[in-house]
Amino acid sequence: MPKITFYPLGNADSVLLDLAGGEKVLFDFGDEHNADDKSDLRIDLTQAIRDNLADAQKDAIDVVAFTHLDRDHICGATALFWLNHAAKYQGADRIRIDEMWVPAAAIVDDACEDEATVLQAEARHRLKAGKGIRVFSRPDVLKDWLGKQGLTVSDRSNCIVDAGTLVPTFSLAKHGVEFFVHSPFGHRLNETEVVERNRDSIVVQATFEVQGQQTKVMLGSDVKWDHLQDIVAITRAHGRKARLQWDVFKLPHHCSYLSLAEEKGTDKTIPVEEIAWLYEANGNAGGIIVSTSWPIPLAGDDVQPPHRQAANYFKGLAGRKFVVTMEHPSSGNPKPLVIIIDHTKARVEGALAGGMSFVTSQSTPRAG
Amino acid sequence: MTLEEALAAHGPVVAPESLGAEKARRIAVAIREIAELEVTFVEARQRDGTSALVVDVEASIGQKPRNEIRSPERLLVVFDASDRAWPAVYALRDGFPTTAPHLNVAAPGLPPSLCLSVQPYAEVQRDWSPAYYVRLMRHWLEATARGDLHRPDQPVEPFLLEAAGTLIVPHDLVQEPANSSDRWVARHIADNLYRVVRDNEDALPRADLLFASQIAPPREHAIATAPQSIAALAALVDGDGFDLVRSIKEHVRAWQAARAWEAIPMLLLQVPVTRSVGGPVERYDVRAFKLASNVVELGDRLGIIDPKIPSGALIGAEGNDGSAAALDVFNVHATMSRETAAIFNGESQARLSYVAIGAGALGSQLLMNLTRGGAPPSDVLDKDRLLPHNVARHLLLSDALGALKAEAVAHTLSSVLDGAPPVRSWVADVLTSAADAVLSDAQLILDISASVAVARRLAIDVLGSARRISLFLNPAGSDLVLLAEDVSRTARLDHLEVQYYWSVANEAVFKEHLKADDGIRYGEGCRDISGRGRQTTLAVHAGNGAAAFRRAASDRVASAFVWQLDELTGTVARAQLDTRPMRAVSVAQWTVLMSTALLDEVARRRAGKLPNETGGVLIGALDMQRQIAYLVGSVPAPPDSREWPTGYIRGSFGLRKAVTELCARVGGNLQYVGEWHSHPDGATTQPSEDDAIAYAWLAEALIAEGRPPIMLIVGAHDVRCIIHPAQGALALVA
Repeated sequence: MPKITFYPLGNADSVLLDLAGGEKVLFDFGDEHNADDKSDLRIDLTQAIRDNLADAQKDAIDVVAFTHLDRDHICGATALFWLNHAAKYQGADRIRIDEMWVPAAAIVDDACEDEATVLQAEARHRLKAGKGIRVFSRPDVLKDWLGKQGLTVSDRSNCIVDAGTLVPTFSLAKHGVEFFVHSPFGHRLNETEVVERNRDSIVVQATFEVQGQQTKVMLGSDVKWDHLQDIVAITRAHGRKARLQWDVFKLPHHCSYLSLAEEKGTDKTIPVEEIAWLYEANGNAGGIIVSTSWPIPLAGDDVQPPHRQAANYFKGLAGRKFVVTMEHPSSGNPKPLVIIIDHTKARVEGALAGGMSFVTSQSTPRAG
Repeated sequence: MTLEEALAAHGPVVAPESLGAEKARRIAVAIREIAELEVTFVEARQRDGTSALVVDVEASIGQKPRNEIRSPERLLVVFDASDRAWPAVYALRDGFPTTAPHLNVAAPGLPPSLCLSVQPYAEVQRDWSPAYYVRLMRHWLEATARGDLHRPDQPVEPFLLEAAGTLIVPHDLVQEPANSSDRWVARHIADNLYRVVRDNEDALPRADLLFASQIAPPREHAIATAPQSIAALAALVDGDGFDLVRSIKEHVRAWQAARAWEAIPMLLLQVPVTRSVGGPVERYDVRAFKLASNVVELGDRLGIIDPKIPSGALIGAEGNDGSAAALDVFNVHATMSRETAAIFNGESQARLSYVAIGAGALGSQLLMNLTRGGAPPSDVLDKDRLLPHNVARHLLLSDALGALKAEAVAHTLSSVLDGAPPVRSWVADVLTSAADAVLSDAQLILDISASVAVARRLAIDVLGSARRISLFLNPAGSDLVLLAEDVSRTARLDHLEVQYYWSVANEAVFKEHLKADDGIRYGEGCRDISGRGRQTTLAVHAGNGAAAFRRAASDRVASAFVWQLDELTGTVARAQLDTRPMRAVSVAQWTVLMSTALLDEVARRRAGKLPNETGGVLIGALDMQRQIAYLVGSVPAPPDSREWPTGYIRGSFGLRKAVTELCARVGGNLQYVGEWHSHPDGATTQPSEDDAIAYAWLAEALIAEGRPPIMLIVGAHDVRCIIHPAQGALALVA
């Protein structure tokens, strides 16, 4: 039975998809918790992922997708994962990545810093080797970089996934899931434009199928309203409205009003028309909207997301469930949000459901 | 009748070769030709339908035989021409013992008749030869001389060669004198077959048969001849003031007064049998005689009633001595008592007194097995009624549909044996206190309720010193489980149960033992699910279970067994389970019980990893209602655990799967209950600061589940159990 786990990470992202066949697909890894701060309620994501794999008796993860290389999506990744490009990232207890997914920007962006630089080196290393990677882009974008490596686009076409297509790694028939790529799309990143990471991040719709019942999950990265508007417009223009339907929607950018519209609104953000249509006409009954963020402030006018005005818009959507990762099941004691996907579509697993197995799926703290 | 007359009755003397019965002819020829048979031919006689041989049979007789048998003995052997029955064998020597066992009761005037074999005649045809038959005769003579032909525990029931009918009488008439006020009624079953019962309710019995019930003075042996008249019988039994004829006359006058002229008058005579003169009565030789075809005829023969005026007495008539009153002898069979049932079943055990809980499929059949073996329960408890789906595997029949199982089963069990006190029934839910009084008074409790809740309540909540023994089937019905407490109840039923689960979790033979069966639906309700399983298998387990219960009850120690039936081959394998006592410690409001197996295991694991610490997770069962934690085993440290001399991190690689599989295998009866880790030599089992952090982590995870966080710290000399350390409840157990 597939399931989706959203980790409580503050305003950072990490979503783990467990496929029916046991494959694991991790979208982003933003482990910003502070081990020295006992009041920090954010999860130790590194340990959580270790426990998750140990529980499944795996030492590698099938896919790690970095939707873009911002800190809140990659923090701590270079300490946890085995990286092929340098021996210093190859300790015995590191977790191997069978396949890495990155946007083209992760290859061609020249402004990376810190961990982003390391992951970029890894992505470039893999692309150069031609295995263990999928780069999400229009192929032409990579032409120059590949040329500098003495390669052509056709040499690496098997590693490149264009928008409007399905990621070939998985199929409904074999894995019970398919990933449709919404972003980055072709008209971005022409030769004159600079890289804007949020706009050039990976946005996919995952379609699960269990006993003939399909469940659609939108993984919205950090895209802003205008980019989301473009995604809607392009997809509609291609007559692919089904690719905009959703049962689970991971909100872009930690419930930022900017992912709905330019204007925040006093108490409620009013989304632009296409986005309103996306949320209101395309969300199936009982759909779950997930804000991967700190708790929604009750009042005030914070600059940083989550924005209560945006949240008010989502809370006002009748028949939809709005869940905030740092509020689940309570803001005083957030736990990973697990969404089960079965023949009844998506449902939030109860906080007690893991039960006793929760204890045995984790390592203990050190006893002395 | 002289001997000559008796022989002449078998026809003229003929040459042995001309005997009509083939077997007679073959024996005659054989004993003439084969000297080793040590039989001497005397004469042969032939008449219509029978062939007779007179032979002298030699036998190996000691100098001082118990019975006066000699060698040779002259025997008359009478063969039936149709060869459908054993030849009759008569001892012709004057003075041949007439009171030895295994003499048939022959007609008066005939010599004593030997009962050679209890085998049906048809069954011995395959083995028959002249030598075979000679050997039988020799065996009878030799064994009778030794006095061991008759087994000590075998009641003597002389067979009447020409009985006029058969009476089935209450078994207590064989054991004790009838009460003189008892009235007897005969129920007609078939021609000349009656069942005699007490009917003290009816003041004036209107039965076809009327009984004169009499107790004769004691004798040293049973009556071995069949008297022809009341006078002859009186001559055998009268004495010590007992006057049979006068007693019968008193009965006849009473029957006459009751106008029961047409009823058949019967004599039911108890003759006390002692081993020696004046010795204690060991049993009663019960004899029945038909005295006449009706009361008036009897009165006429005794000279006290004029058949022309049956209502009137003959004025002043004392009557005669009964010489003219002929007797028809009836065979008597006593009903089955607890004691004789036990003997028939080969059970030597003293009487069992126990209360049975559960009258379901297994329970009802198991109780029937025990009852037939002479060990009925004193009480049966059950709350359910018999529904149609039960009948596929239940003692009760469809005529009891809708009946309360406890009542119907108790009634059925009470109908098996005669004379045992009726089985009491209690329509009660043992989960409530409704039946506590009867359970607290019990000497032994047999739980066949197939309910864990009942067994737990019995083990813990029901007061009383009665040992508890539980028998139940696994969900598939293929295996039978016995859990028996010791007499002092140190190994309680609940202790045995959780340790049994641990065996199931770990031993290969039990891999499928608790595999859940979906059951079969018998009604419309959600809970109308019944187990599936074969009656043939259940019958095997009901048999094994009854025997196992008797064995366990005769032993003082705790025991636990599983019998597994392979339905393909019918083979039953038995496995013995750990019944070592659990160690108890009180922590906070909880009682923590630890199995010896667990304590051994953690100590062994600790020693194996020294100087490092090690640990693992604890498997057990929690009784949240009673606040009892049972710790029975552990799952070893996963491979990603980290161990140092000063610390331990229990990893998680594959752990959840291992624990989940283990718990699933025991049907959820065991679960994760906590963590253990070791402390090195030289360190106490006091929790360290790290331990407190680890405990807090455990507590956070488990308290949401409402479960007590349990941590064991295993040291060199003790094991410390921690629950709610904030309450400071720590205890040493080892």
